Amino acid sequence: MANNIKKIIKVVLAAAFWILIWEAASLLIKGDLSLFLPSPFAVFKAFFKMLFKVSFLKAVGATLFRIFMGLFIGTVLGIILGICTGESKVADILISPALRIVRSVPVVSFIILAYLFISVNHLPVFISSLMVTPIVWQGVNDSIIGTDKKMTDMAKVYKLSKTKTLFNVKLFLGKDRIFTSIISAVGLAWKSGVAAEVLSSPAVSIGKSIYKAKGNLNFDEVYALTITVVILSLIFEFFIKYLFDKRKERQVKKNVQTD
Amino acid sequence: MFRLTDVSFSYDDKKVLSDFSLSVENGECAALCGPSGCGKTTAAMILARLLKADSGEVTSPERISVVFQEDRLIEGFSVIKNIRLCLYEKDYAFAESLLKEVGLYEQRSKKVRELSGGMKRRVSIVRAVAFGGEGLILDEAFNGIDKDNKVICAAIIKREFIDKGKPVLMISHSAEDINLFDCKKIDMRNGE
Repeated sequence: MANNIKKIIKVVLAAAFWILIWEAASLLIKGDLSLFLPSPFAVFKAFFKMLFKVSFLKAVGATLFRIFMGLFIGTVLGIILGICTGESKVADILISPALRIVRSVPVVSFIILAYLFISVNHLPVFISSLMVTPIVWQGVNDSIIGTDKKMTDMAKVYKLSKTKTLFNVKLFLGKDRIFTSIISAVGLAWKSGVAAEVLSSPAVSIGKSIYKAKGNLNFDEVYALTITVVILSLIFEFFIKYLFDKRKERQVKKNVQTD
Repeated sequence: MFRLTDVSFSYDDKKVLSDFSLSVENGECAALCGPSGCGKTTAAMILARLLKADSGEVTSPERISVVFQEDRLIEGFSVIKNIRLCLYEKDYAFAESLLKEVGLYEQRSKKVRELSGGMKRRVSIVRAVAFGGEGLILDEAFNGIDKDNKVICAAIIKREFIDKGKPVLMISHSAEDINLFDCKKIDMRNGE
Protein backbone atom coordinates (compact mmCIF):
# COMPACT_ATOMS: atom_id res chain seq x y z
CA MET A 1 0.00 0.00 0.00
CA ALA A 2 2.71 2.43 1.05
CA ASN A 3 4.65 1.44 -2.06
CA ASN A 4 1.64 2.18 -4.26
CA ILE A 5 1.25 5.63 -2.70
CA LYS A 6 4.94 6.31 -3.25
CA LYS A 7 4.57 5.24 -6.87
CA ILE A 8 1.56 7.53 -7.40
CA ILE A 9 3.38 10.46 -5.78
CA LYS A 10 6.37 9.89 -8.08
CA VAL A 11 4.15 9.82 -11.18
CA VAL A 12 2.25 12.95 -10.09
CA LEU A 13 5.49 14.80 -9.34
CA ALA A 14 6.98 13.83 -12.71
CA ALA A 15 3.78 14.93 -14.50
CA ALA A 16 3.74 18.22 -12.57
CA PHE A 17 7.39 18.84 -13.50
CA TRP A 18 6.74 18.41 -17.23
CA ILE A 19 3.52 20.44 -17.12
CA LEU A 20 5.50 23.28 -15.51
CA ILE A 21 8.14 23.06 -18.25
CA TRP A 22 5.37 23.09 -20.84
CA GLU A 23 3.70 26.10 -19.17
CA ALA A 24 7.03 27.95 -19.04
CA ALA A 25 7.75 27.20 -22.70
CA SER A 26 4.28 28.37 -23.77
CA LEU A 27 4.81 31.63 -21.83
CA LEU A 28 8.24 32.17 -23.40
CA ILE A 29 7.03 31.76 -26.97
CA LYS A 30 5.59 35.03 -28.17
CA GLY A 31 3.79 36.18 -31.29
CA ASP A 32 2.35 33.92 -34.02
CA LEU A 33 4.43 30.97 -32.89
CA SER A 34 2.51 30.85 -29.58
CA LEU A 35 -0.36 29.41 -31.62
CA PHE A 36 1.62 26.17 -32.03
CA LEU A 37 2.30 25.71 -28.33
CA PRO A 38 -0.84 26.43 -26.33
CA SER A 39 -0.65 26.42 -22.54
CA PRO A 40 -1.49 23.22 -20.63
CA PHE A 41 -4.58 24.95 -19.27
CA ALA A 42 -5.90 25.72 -22.77
CA VAL A 43 -5.27 22.13 -23.85
CA PHE A 44 -7.00 20.62 -20.82
CA LYS A 45 -9.90 23.02 -21.37
CA ALA A 46 -10.18 21.84 -24.97
CA PHE A 47 -9.91 18.23 -23.82
CA PHE A 48 -12.76 18.49 -21.31
CA LYS A 49 -14.88 20.44 -23.81
CA MET A 50 -14.39 17.61 -26.34
CA LEU A 51 -15.20 14.90 -23.82
CA PHE A 52 -18.90 15.78 -23.87
CA LYS A 53 -19.26 15.93 -27.64
CA VAL A 54 -21.00 12.97 -29.30
CA SER A 55 -18.87 13.34 -32.43
CA PHE A 56 -15.68 12.99 -30.32
CA LEU A 57 -16.99 9.90 -28.52
CA LYS A 58 -17.97 8.36 -31.87
CA ALA A 59 -14.48 9.08 -33.22
CA VAL A 60 -12.90 7.50 -30.13
CA GLY A 61 -15.12 4.42 -30.50
CA ALA A 62 -14.32 4.00 -34.19
CA THR A 63 -10.57 4.46 -33.66
CA LEU A 64 -10.58 2.09 -30.70
CA PHE A 65 -12.29 -0.56 -32.81
CA ARG A 66 -9.82 -0.12 -35.68
CA ILE A 67 -6.77 -0.31 -33.42
CA PHE A 68 -8.18 -3.30 -31.57
CA MET A 69 -8.77 -5.10 -34.87
CA GLY A 70 -5.28 -4.17 -36.08
CA LEU A 71 -3.71 -5.41 -32.86
CA PHE A 72 -5.76 -8.61 -32.90
CA ILE A 73 -5.04 -9.47 -36.54
CA GLY A 74 -1.36 -8.52 -36.14
CA THR A 75 -1.00 -10.64 -32.99
CA VAL A 76 -2.65 -13.70 -34.54
CA LEU A 77 -0.56 -13.34 -37.71
CA GLY A 78 2.61 -12.75 -35.68
CA ILE A 79 2.00 -15.88 -33.61
CA ILE A 80 1.28 -18.02 -36.70
CA LEU A 81 4.33 -16.70 -38.57
CA GLY A 82 6.53 -17.01 -35.47
CA ILE A 83 5.55 -20.67 -35.12
CA CYS A 84 6.25 -21.23 -38.83
CA THR A 85 9.71 -19.63 -38.79
CA GLY A 86 10.61 -21.07 -35.40
CA GLU A 87 9.70 -24.59 -36.42
CA SER A 88 10.68 -24.69 -40.09
CA LYS A 89 13.99 -23.65 -41.59
CA VAL A 90 12.40 -23.22 -45.04
CA ALA A 91 9.74 -20.90 -43.61
CA ASP A 92 12.49 -19.02 -41.76
CA ILE A 93 14.46 -18.47 -44.97
CA LEU A 94 11.34 -17.35 -46.86
CA ILE A 95 9.45 -15.31 -44.26
CA SER A 96 11.96 -13.82 -41.79
CA PRO A 97 13.70 -11.42 -44.24
CA ALA A 98 10.31 -10.07 -45.39
CA LEU A 99 9.25 -9.39 -41.80
CA ARG A 100 12.58 -7.73 -40.99
CA ILE A 101 12.06 -5.43 -43.99
CA VAL A 102 8.48 -4.63 -42.89
CA ARG A 103 9.84 -3.74 -39.45
CA SER A 104 12.37 -1.26 -40.80
CA VAL A 105 10.34 0.40 -43.60
CA PRO A 106 8.93 3.79 -42.44
CA VAL A 107 5.26 3.48 -41.61
CA VAL A 108 4.37 6.46 -43.77
CA SER A 109 5.66 4.66 -46.90
CA PHE A 110 3.28 1.78 -46.21
CA ILE A 111 0.39 4.18 -45.58
CA ILE A 112 0.94 5.95 -48.89
CA LEU A 113 1.30 2.68 -50.84
CA ALA A 114 -1.61 0.92 -49.13
CA TYR A 115 -3.80 4.01 -49.61
CA LEU A 116 -3.88 3.17 -53.33
CA PHE A 117 -5.35 -0.30 -52.76
CA ILE A 118 -7.25 -0.30 -49.47
CA SER A 119 -10.39 1.61 -48.48
CA VAL A 120 -9.90 4.45 -46.01
CA ASN A 121 -11.88 2.64 -43.32
CA HIS A 122 -9.71 -0.46 -43.49
CA LEU A 123 -6.37 1.25 -44.00
CA PRO A 124 -5.69 2.00 -40.27
CA VAL A 125 -6.53 -1.64 -39.40
CA PHE A 126 -4.17 -2.87 -42.10
CA ILE A 127 -1.35 -0.52 -41.09
CA SER A 128 -1.52 -1.25 -37.37
CA SER A 129 -1.66 -5.01 -37.97
CA LEU A 130 1.30 -4.66 -40.34
CA MET A 131 3.30 -2.89 -37.61
CA VAL A 132 2.26 -5.33 -34.87
CA THR A 133 2.95 -8.53 -36.83
CA PRO A 134 6.79 -8.31 -36.94
CA ILE A 135 7.03 -7.42 -33.23
CA VAL A 136 4.90 -10.39 -32.13
CA TRP A 137 6.55 -12.63 -34.74
CA GLN A 138 9.97 -11.77 -33.29
CA GLY A 139 8.79 -12.60 -29.76
CA VAL A 140 7.32 -15.96 -30.77
CA ASN A 141 10.19 -16.88 -33.10
CA ASP A 142 12.84 -16.02 -30.47
CA SER A 143 10.94 -17.97 -27.82
CA ILE A 144 10.85 -21.07 -29.99
CA ILE A 145 14.42 -21.01 -31.23
CA GLY A 146 15.71 -19.89 -27.83
CA THR A 147 14.13 -22.79 -25.93
CA ASP A 148 16.64 -24.41 -23.59
CA LYS A 149 18.09 -27.43 -25.43
CA LYS A 150 17.90 -29.39 -22.20
CA MET A 151 14.11 -29.05 -22.27
CA THR A 152 13.81 -30.03 -25.93
CA ASP A 153 16.03 -33.05 -25.18
CA MET A 154 13.65 -33.97 -22.36
CA ALA A 155 10.75 -33.71 -24.83
CA LYS A 156 12.63 -35.95 -27.27
CA VAL A 157 13.41 -38.61 -24.65
CA TYR A 158 9.81 -38.69 -23.41
CA LYS A 159 8.48 -38.85 -26.99
CA LEU A 160 6.39 -35.71 -26.72
CA SER A 161 4.47 -35.01 -29.94
CA LYS A 162 5.46 -31.97 -31.98
CA THR A 163 2.30 -30.16 -30.89
CA LYS A 164 2.87 -30.93 -27.20
CA THR A 165 6.50 -29.83 -27.46
CA LEU A 166 5.49 -26.62 -29.21
CA PHE A 167 2.67 -25.57 -26.89
CA ASN A 168 3.70 -27.09 -23.56
CA VAL A 169 7.44 -26.61 -23.74
CA LYS A 170 8.54 -23.99 -26.27
CA LEU A 171 5.63 -21.53 -26.17
CA PHE A 172 4.92 -22.08 -22.49
CA LEU A 173 8.52 -21.45 -21.47
CA GLY A 174 8.65 -18.39 -23.74
CA LYS A 175 5.24 -16.99 -22.77
CA ASP A 176 6.63 -14.02 -20.83
CA ARG A 177 8.69 -12.96 -23.83
CA ILE A 178 5.63 -13.32 -26.09
CA PHE A 179 3.40 -11.30 -23.72
CA THR A 180 6.06 -8.59 -23.52
CA SER A 181 6.20 -8.39 -27.31
CA ILE A 182 2.40 -8.05 -27.51
CA ILE A 183 2.38 -5.32 -24.85
CA SER A 184 5.17 -3.41 -26.59
CA ALA A 185 3.23 -3.70 -29.87
CA VAL A 186 0.25 -1.85 -28.37
CA GLY A 187 1.94 1.56 -28.51
CA LEU A 188 3.06 0.93 -32.06
CA ALA A 189 -0.45 -0.13 -33.11
CA TRP A 190 -1.81 3.18 -31.82
CA LYS A 191 0.95 5.32 -33.34
CA SER A 192 0.73 3.74 -36.76
CA GLY A 193 -3.06 3.36 -36.75
CA VAL A 194 -3.68 7.02 -35.88
CA ALA A 195 -1.03 8.12 -38.41
CA ALA A 196 -2.92 6.12 -41.05
CA GLU A 197 -6.16 7.79 -39.97
CA VAL A 198 -4.59 11.26 -40.26
CA LEU A 199 -3.37 10.55 -43.78
CA SER A 200 -6.42 8.64 -45.04
CA SER A 201 -9.07 10.49 -43.02
CA PRO A 202 -11.87 7.97 -42.53
CA ALA A 203 -15.19 9.77 -41.90
CA VAL A 204 -15.32 9.04 -38.16
CA SER A 205 -11.90 8.85 -36.53
CA ILE A 206 -9.53 10.59 -34.13
CA GLY A 207 -7.07 10.91 -37.01
CA LYS A 208 -9.52 12.92 -39.08
CA SER A 209 -10.32 15.12 -36.07
CA ILE A 210 -6.58 15.83 -35.66
CA TYR A 211 -6.29 16.63 -39.37
CA LYS A 212 -9.31 18.95 -39.24
CA ALA A 213 -8.13 20.70 -36.07
CA LYS A 214 -4.72 21.29 -37.62
CA GLY A 215 -6.40 22.69 -40.77
CA ASN A 216 -8.39 25.10 -38.62
CA LEU A 217 -5.19 26.06 -36.76
CA ASN A 218 -6.90 24.84 -33.60
CA PHE A 219 -3.78 23.52 -31.90
CA ASP A 220 -5.44 23.31 -28.46
CA GLU A 221 -7.56 20.55 -29.98
CA VAL A 222 -4.59 18.91 -31.76
CA TYR A 223 -2.79 18.57 -28.43
CA ALA A 224 -5.99 17.45 -26.67
CA LEU A 225 -6.58 14.77 -29.29
CA THR A 226 -2.95 13.64 -29.00
CA ILE A 227 -3.36 13.34 -25.24
CA THR A 228 -6.52 11.32 -25.89
CA VAL A 229 -4.52 8.88 -28.06
CA VAL A 230 -1.83 8.58 -25.37
CA ILE A 231 -4.43 7.92 -22.66
CA LEU A 232 -6.25 5.35 -24.80
CA SER A 233 -2.97 3.62 -25.61
CA LEU A 234 -2.07 3.43 -21.91
CA ILE A 235 -5.55 2.12 -21.01
CA PHE A 236 -5.24 -0.49 -23.75
CA GLU A 237 -1.81 -1.55 -22.50
CA PHE A 238 -3.08 -1.68 -18.92
CA PHE A 239 -6.10 -3.74 -20.00
CA ILE A 240 -3.95 -6.29 -21.84
CA LYS A 241 -1.56 -6.55 -18.85
CA TYR A 242 -4.60 -7.01 -16.61
CA LEU A 243 -5.92 -9.82 -18.85
CA PHE A 244 -2.55 -11.61 -18.70
CA ASP A 245 -2.40 -11.23 -14.91
CA LYS A 246 -6.00 -12.46 -14.58
CA ARG A 247 -5.10 -15.49 -16.69
CA LYS A 248 -2.21 -16.26 -14.35
CA GLU A 249 -4.50 -15.87 -11.32
CA ARG A 250 -7.11 -18.19 -12.86
CA GLN A 251 -4.44 -20.83 -13.38
CA VAL A 252 -3.36 -20.62 -9.74
CA LYS A 253 -7.01 -20.92 -8.60
CA LYS A 254 -7.52 -23.92 -10.91
CA ASN A 255 -4.51 -25.61 -9.36
CA VAL A 256 -5.81 -25.01 -5.83
CA GLN A 257 -9.25 -26.42 -6.77
CA THR A 258 -7.82 -29.65 -8.17
CA ASP A 259 -5.71 -30.13 -5.06
CA MET B 1 20.12 -53.92 -23.23
CA PHE B 2 22.53 -50.99 -23.33
CA ARG B 3 25.68 -51.50 -25.34
CA LEU B 4 28.38 -49.17 -26.61
CA THR B 5 31.14 -50.77 -28.65
CA ASP B 6 34.29 -48.79 -29.44
CA VAL B 7 32.36 -45.54 -29.40
CA SER B 8 34.16 -42.26 -30.00
CA PHE B 9 32.69 -38.81 -29.61
CA SER B 10 34.06 -35.26 -29.81
CA TYR B 11 32.61 -31.86 -29.03
CA ASP B 12 34.17 -29.74 -31.80
CA ASP B 13 37.89 -30.50 -31.37
CA LYS B 14 37.68 -31.91 -27.87
CA LYS B 15 37.65 -35.70 -27.78
CA VAL B 16 35.33 -36.87 -25.00
CA LEU B 17 35.00 -40.58 -25.72
CA SER B 18 37.68 -42.64 -27.36
CA ASP B 19 36.84 -46.25 -28.36
CA PHE B 20 34.72 -46.56 -25.24
CA SER B 21 32.72 -49.73 -24.64
CA LEU B 22 30.15 -50.72 -22.06
CA SER B 23 27.44 -53.29 -21.77
CA VAL B 24 24.44 -53.50 -19.45
CA GLU B 25 22.38 -56.64 -19.88
CA ASN B 26 18.60 -56.82 -19.45
CA GLY B 27 17.67 -56.93 -15.77
CA GLU B 28 21.12 -55.70 -14.80
CA CYS B 29 22.17 -52.49 -13.08
CA ALA B 30 25.51 -50.88 -13.87
CA ALA B 31 27.09 -47.86 -12.26
CA LEU B 32 29.28 -45.70 -14.47
CA CYS B 33 31.92 -44.16 -12.24
CA GLY B 34 34.75 -41.76 -12.83
CA PRO B 35 35.92 -38.22 -12.21
CA SER B 36 33.96 -35.18 -13.40
CA GLY B 37 34.34 -34.46 -17.10
CA CYS B 38 35.46 -37.97 -18.03
CA GLY B 39 32.49 -38.43 -20.40
CA LYS B 40 29.95 -40.33 -18.27
CA THR B 41 26.98 -38.15 -19.17
CA THR B 42 28.07 -38.04 -22.82
CA ALA B 43 28.04 -41.86 -22.93
CA ALA B 44 24.59 -41.88 -21.33
CA MET B 45 23.26 -39.29 -23.76
CA ILE B 46 24.53 -41.35 -26.69
CA LEU B 47 22.58 -44.31 -25.30
CA ALA B 48 19.52 -42.08 -24.95
CA ARG B 49 19.96 -41.08 -28.63
CA LEU B 50 20.36 -37.43 -27.74
CA LEU B 51 23.91 -37.40 -29.10
CA LYS B 52 25.23 -39.23 -32.15
CA ALA B 53 28.49 -41.10 -31.80
CA ASP B 54 31.24 -40.21 -34.28
CA SER B 55 32.09 -43.89 -34.64
CA GLY B 56 31.39 -47.24 -33.02
CA GLU B 57 28.25 -49.25 -32.42
CA VAL B 58 25.36 -48.21 -30.18
CA THR B 59 22.60 -50.56 -29.01
CA SER B 60 19.81 -49.26 -26.82
CA PRO B 61 16.02 -49.60 -26.66
CA GLU B 62 13.82 -47.20 -28.63
CA ARG B 63 11.96 -46.02 -25.50
CA ILE B 64 14.26 -45.12 -22.63
CA SER B 65 13.39 -43.38 -19.37
CA VAL B 66 15.99 -40.84 -18.31
CA VAL B 67 16.42 -39.00 -15.03
CA PHE B 68 18.63 -36.14 -16.13
CA GLN B 69 21.36 -34.52 -14.07
CA GLU B 70 19.10 -31.46 -13.83
CA ASP B 71 15.38 -31.82 -13.08
CA ARG B 72 14.25 -30.67 -16.54
CA LEU B 73 10.73 -30.07 -15.26
CA ILE B 74 8.51 -27.21 -16.38
CA GLU B 75 8.58 -24.97 -13.32
CA GLY B 76 5.27 -23.26 -14.15
CA PHE B 77 3.39 -26.56 -14.43
CA SER B 78 2.05 -28.54 -11.50
CA VAL B 79 3.71 -31.79 -10.45
CA ILE B 80 0.95 -33.88 -11.99
CA LYS B 81 0.91 -31.87 -15.23
CA ASN B 82 4.66 -32.33 -15.64
CA ILE B 83 4.28 -36.07 -15.29
CA ARG B 84 1.11 -36.44 -17.37
CA LEU B 85 2.71 -34.46 -20.18
CA CYS B 86 4.95 -37.47 -20.88
CA LEU B 87 2.33 -40.19 -20.44
CA TYR B 88 -0.65 -41.78 -22.15
CA GLU B 89 -3.94 -41.39 -20.28
CA LYS B 90 -3.93 -45.09 -19.34
CA ASP B 91 -0.79 -44.51 -17.24
CA TYR B 92 -2.17 -41.60 -15.17
CA ALA B 93 -3.37 -43.83 -12.33
CA PHE B 94 0.02 -45.57 -12.18
CA ALA B 95 1.76 -42.19 -11.94
CA GLU B 96 -0.50 -41.18 -9.06
CA SER B 97 0.23 -44.41 -7.21
CA LEU B 98 3.95 -43.72 -7.63
CA LEU B 99 3.48 -40.20 -6.28
CA LYS B 100 1.82 -41.75 -3.22
CA GLU B 101 4.78 -44.10 -2.77
CA VAL B 102 7.34 -41.31 -2.86
CA GLY B 103 5.23 -39.12 -0.58
CA LEU B 104 4.36 -36.44 -3.11
CA TYR B 105 0.67 -37.18 -3.70
CA GLU B 106 -0.43 -34.27 -1.52
CA GLN B 107 1.84 -31.97 -3.51
CA ARG B 108 0.60 -33.13 -6.93
CA SER B 109 -1.23 -29.88 -7.71
CA LYS B 110 1.57 -27.63 -6.55
CA LYS B 111 3.67 -25.83 -9.08
CA VAL B 112 7.10 -27.43 -9.45
CA ARG B 113 8.74 -24.09 -8.62
CA GLU B 114 7.24 -24.35 -5.13
CA LEU B 115 8.99 -27.66 -4.40
CA SER B 116 12.33 -28.25 -2.71
CA GLY B 117 15.29 -29.62 -4.68
CA GLY B 118 14.82 -33.14 -3.27
CA MET B 119 11.11 -33.13 -4.12
CA LYS B 120 11.88 -32.09 -7.70
CA ARG B 121 14.31 -34.99 -8.02
CA ARG B 122 11.61 -37.37 -6.82
CA VAL B 123 9.15 -35.93 -9.38
CA SER B 124 11.78 -36.56 -12.10
CA ILE B 125 12.15 -40.15 -10.92
CA VAL B 126 8.36 -40.70 -10.85
CA ARG B 127 8.10 -39.29 -14.38
CA ALA B 128 10.83 -41.63 -15.62
CA VAL B 129 9.29 -44.69 -13.95
CA ALA B 130 5.72 -43.87 -15.02
CA PHE B 131 6.90 -43.36 -18.60
CA GLY B 132 7.82 -47.03 -18.54
CA GLY B 133 10.83 -47.05 -20.84
CA GLU B 134 12.49 -50.30 -21.86
CA GLY B 135 15.59 -49.16 -20.01
CA LEU B 136 16.50 -46.50 -17.46
CA ILE B 137 19.35 -44.03 -17.26
CA LEU B 138 19.91 -42.32 -13.91
CA ASP B 139 22.27 -39.37 -14.15
CA GLU B 140 23.05 -38.25 -10.59
CA ALA B 141 19.37 -38.98 -9.95
CA PHE B 142 19.55 -39.15 -6.16
CA ASN B 143 21.31 -35.85 -5.52
CA GLY B 144 19.49 -33.88 -2.84
CA ILE B 145 17.14 -36.69 -1.82
CA ASP B 146 17.14 -37.70 1.84
CA LYS B 147 18.20 -41.22 2.81
CA ASP B 148 14.71 -42.64 3.48
CA ASN B 149 13.34 -41.39 0.20
CA LYS B 150 16.43 -42.67 -1.65
CA VAL B 151 15.60 -46.16 -0.37
CA ILE B 152 11.94 -45.81 -1.45
CA CYS B 153 12.92 -44.56 -4.93
CA ALA B 154 15.52 -47.31 -5.34
CA ALA B 155 12.92 -49.96 -4.40
CA ILE B 156 10.53 -48.59 -7.03
CA ILE B 157 13.27 -48.60 -9.67
CA LYS B 158 14.27 -52.14 -8.78
CA ARG B 159 10.65 -53.33 -8.94
CA GLU B 160 9.73 -51.53 -12.18
CA PHE B 161 12.95 -51.99 -14.14
CA ILE B 162 15.48 -54.50 -12.83
CA ASP B 163 12.93 -57.11 -11.70
CA LYS B 164 11.09 -56.72 -15.02
CA GLY B 165 14.28 -57.51 -16.93
CA LYS B 166 15.07 -53.97 -18.05
CA PRO B 167 18.61 -52.53 -17.98
CA VAL B 168 19.49 -49.66 -15.63
CA LEU B 169 22.56 -47.48 -16.11
CA MET B 170 23.44 -45.26 -13.21
CA ILE B 171 25.87 -42.36 -13.09
CA SER B 172 26.88 -41.25 -9.65
CA HIS B 173 29.77 -39.95 -7.61
CA SER B 174 28.25 -41.24 -4.41
CA ALA B 175 29.10 -44.70 -3.11
CA GLU B 176 25.96 -44.51 -0.95
CA ASP B 177 23.78 -44.08 -4.05
CA ILE B 178 25.54 -46.87 -5.93
CA ASN B 179 25.05 -49.19 -2.96
CA LEU B 180 21.28 -48.70 -3.19
CA PHE B 181 21.38 -51.25 -5.99
CA ASP B 182 23.26 -54.46 -6.58
CA CYS B 183 25.33 -52.77 -9.26
CA LYS B 184 28.27 -53.74 -11.36
CA LYS B 185 30.79 -50.90 -11.52
CA ILE B 186 32.17 -49.58 -14.79
CA ASP B 187 35.19 -47.35 -14.22
CA MET B 188 35.76 -44.61 -16.73
CA ARG B 189 38.94 -42.58 -17.12
CA ASN B 190 39.28 -39.84 -19.74
CA GLY B 191 36.61 -41.29 -22.01
CA GLU B 192 38.09 -44.75 -22.09
